[in-house]
Amino acid sequence: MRRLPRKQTDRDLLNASRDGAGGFDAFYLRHHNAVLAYLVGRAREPEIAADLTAETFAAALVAVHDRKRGLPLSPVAWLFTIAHHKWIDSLRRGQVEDEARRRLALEPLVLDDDALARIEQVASSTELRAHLAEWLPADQVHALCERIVAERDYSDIAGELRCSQAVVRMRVSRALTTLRSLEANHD
Amino acid sequence: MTDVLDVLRAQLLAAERTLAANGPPSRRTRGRPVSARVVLASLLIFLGGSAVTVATQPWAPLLAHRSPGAPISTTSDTAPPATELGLLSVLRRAQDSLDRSATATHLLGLIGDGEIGVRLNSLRLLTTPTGQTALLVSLKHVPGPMSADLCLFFGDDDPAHTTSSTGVCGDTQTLRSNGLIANVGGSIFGLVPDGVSRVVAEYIDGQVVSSPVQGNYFSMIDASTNGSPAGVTAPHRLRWLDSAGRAIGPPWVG
Repeated sequence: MRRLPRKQTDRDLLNASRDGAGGFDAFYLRHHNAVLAYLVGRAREPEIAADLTAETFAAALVAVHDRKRGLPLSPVAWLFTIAHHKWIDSLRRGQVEDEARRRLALEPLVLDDDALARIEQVASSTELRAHLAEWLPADQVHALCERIVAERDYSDIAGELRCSQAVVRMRVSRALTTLRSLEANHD
Repeated sequence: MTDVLDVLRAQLLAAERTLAANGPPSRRTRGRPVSARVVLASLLIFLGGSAVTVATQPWAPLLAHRSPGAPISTTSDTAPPATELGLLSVLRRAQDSLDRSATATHLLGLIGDGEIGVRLNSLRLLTTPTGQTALLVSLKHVPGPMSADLCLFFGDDDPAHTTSSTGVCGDTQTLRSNGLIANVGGSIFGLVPDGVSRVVAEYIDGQVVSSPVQGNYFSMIDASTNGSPAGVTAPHRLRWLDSAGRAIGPPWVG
């Protein structure tokens, strides 16, 4: 008997998808709960979060199959950056854009009460920190989660960590800089 | 209840298959006049035409022949028997480009010498939610005590491991009774009939591990090799659940 195949990395999965060997489905299954949870936390409305999640993954799939673009060095960071931008865009426009979904001919999601309850259940039971920890140093993950995800004040976080607010601000800043650099590398 | 995340997943999977077959969609198609013929053709492709396309194209990958003097494996153009088609939805869908991808060809190379009637047009590349792949192979039935009509092979991308195989084989009766299940290298994996949405492994120490089924295929970590107390070995029992969480086997009673 041979050993089992090693677990494929996110980059393996995206590479496989680009090469026509599948992989995006597994990528979606790994991260959809975390992306949805993040967007529920931002948008506050499960309907909006579901649309943003669909548009985020559709945009990611389109990008993966665009051979003019390099594949992201850090797929998780890249995915959350897309999600973040989709959310910001929805605030600016007053609606969730659907360009990527239209390009892929995806049908609009039908959201009944059960679906909305399911979204809220997923959001409440998903640990975002574990996903962030895959691509940021631990201190930055903590600061970023507390500030951006939990929306706590700098003073509260500093009190908990027994450090100055300046240190917390620096860690959050570094984390966001890492995000931006990853995004820039991708573009 | 239909899970909206599963609906989105299915849409993305269909879109990925279309992209793999046709390349990325053009941003410029929006607003451009398109003839009704083109619209119809695009619709057919999106609804599965890509899979039909590859299924009608000739394909002749090399089968393994490692041992001089050993019988050479042979292929068959026949369709799987109705019993297999009736149990496995993954065989009822059309073969697509992923089923003929480099990954599938690699796994095909793991088939041993002397297999008779490998149905190339019925090969299916199966993928677990964790990204592990396996190749489902339907074989022409050969009467005998070692008869195996269905095999599941899996491996990795490491060329150093292409000279032997991990797989599990059986007939449709085995599939109905227990599924084609293997417990290897810290994982439990296997093929189960239609209607099984989740496989649950129960251990004698009370541990329970489960895995969703995707395309009749599942794979899960074997809890007996994952920090379990000493003495706990194989799962005490495997249960099959339907989409509503009801126990439906094994054995399969559909």
